[in-house]
Amino acid sequence: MISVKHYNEAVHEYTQNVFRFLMKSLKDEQAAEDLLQDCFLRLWENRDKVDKLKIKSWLFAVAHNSMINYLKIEGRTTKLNGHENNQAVFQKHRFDLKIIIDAALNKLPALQKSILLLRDLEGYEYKEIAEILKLNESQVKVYLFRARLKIKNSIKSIMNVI
Amino acid sequence: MKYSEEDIDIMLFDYLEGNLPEDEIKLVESQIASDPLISEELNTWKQSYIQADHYQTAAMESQLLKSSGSFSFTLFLNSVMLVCLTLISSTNPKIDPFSTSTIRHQTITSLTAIKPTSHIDFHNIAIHPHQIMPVEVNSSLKKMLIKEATVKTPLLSPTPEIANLPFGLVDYVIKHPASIETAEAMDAPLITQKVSRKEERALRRMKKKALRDKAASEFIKGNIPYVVPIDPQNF
Repeated sequence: MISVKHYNEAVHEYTQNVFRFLMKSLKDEQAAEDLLQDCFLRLWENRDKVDKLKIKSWLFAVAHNSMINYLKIEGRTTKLNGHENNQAVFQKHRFDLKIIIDAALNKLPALQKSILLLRDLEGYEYKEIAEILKLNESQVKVYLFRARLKIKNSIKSIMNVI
Repeated sequence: MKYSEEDIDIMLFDYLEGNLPEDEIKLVESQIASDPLISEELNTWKQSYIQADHYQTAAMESQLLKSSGSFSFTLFLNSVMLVCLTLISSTNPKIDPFSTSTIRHQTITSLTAIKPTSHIDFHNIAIHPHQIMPVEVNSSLKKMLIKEATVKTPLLSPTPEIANLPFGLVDYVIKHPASIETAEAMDAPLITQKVSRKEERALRRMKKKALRDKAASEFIKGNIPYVVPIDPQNF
């Protein structure tokens, strides 16, 4: 059972983390903000069921599912103006590792992306990530390896070109 | 020992993730130190870690916060004031001069016994003069009081009617005008206002005009359906 106090503490502590996770996943500030609000709304609605010691992992689980749903819906729609979020990395005058990593991250499947973000940004252990994403530990390890390898190869390929 | 590219990737991944035991860590470190290719790969692997960005989320946090429902001093103060006002109003009801008051069952004849010359000192009485009005007032006095009630100014001078008051309160009324509310305010319900015929006609006209305007506005709003008048000759 979560009280108003616990809820407000969770807002103060985890808004930054959840928003960062969603922003890194979606690269769309408006969508990330909407999904963040949705996450906390669901937390409040399910306050009787959620354990107050597991609020953070619960929020990330909801954020991941919301992100998957959002990407599914987005995949079915086509933007009229033809705008794409993929940035032209190579047109930059200087080598920017962060942009390369972001571009590589965008190409990852949603699950691998979530595992990578939970591991790197939030520092979760394999077991915790497995609980959040309803996987087992070995699956988490394999997906994480694949995700990191793809990013490493992206960096390597660009480094070779430069 | 020659490692394949895949083996190196797995080894470096496990090394950076901290999945290796102590003896294997030492082995990997020796490989890194001896082979520059593995060292270069390790640098690339290190770069693949995602760095945390900081976003401004203060506005979002303020939107998401719930009011705690804690003790509100303003609300408490307002409640106390409301209770106080209610208590004051209940302990000091508006006095109707013709309702039951201090003297309940005395008739006017018993009141006439109180003369100004009697031993009762009206100047020191804390009772408002209105409060000692009897319930059972005879008709002549009531008429007189109603007539007095039509006076719109405070009773500052002894009018002939006041001078004839049988209560012996004339002195009190004259010397304490501030303690007396205007007769209009106190006796407003008893006043029977006379309206001339001309005023009555004007009122009637105004009333009809207001009704017409109301009907027209309702019709404009569409609340009243328009019924086409039937012409009996063409029907």
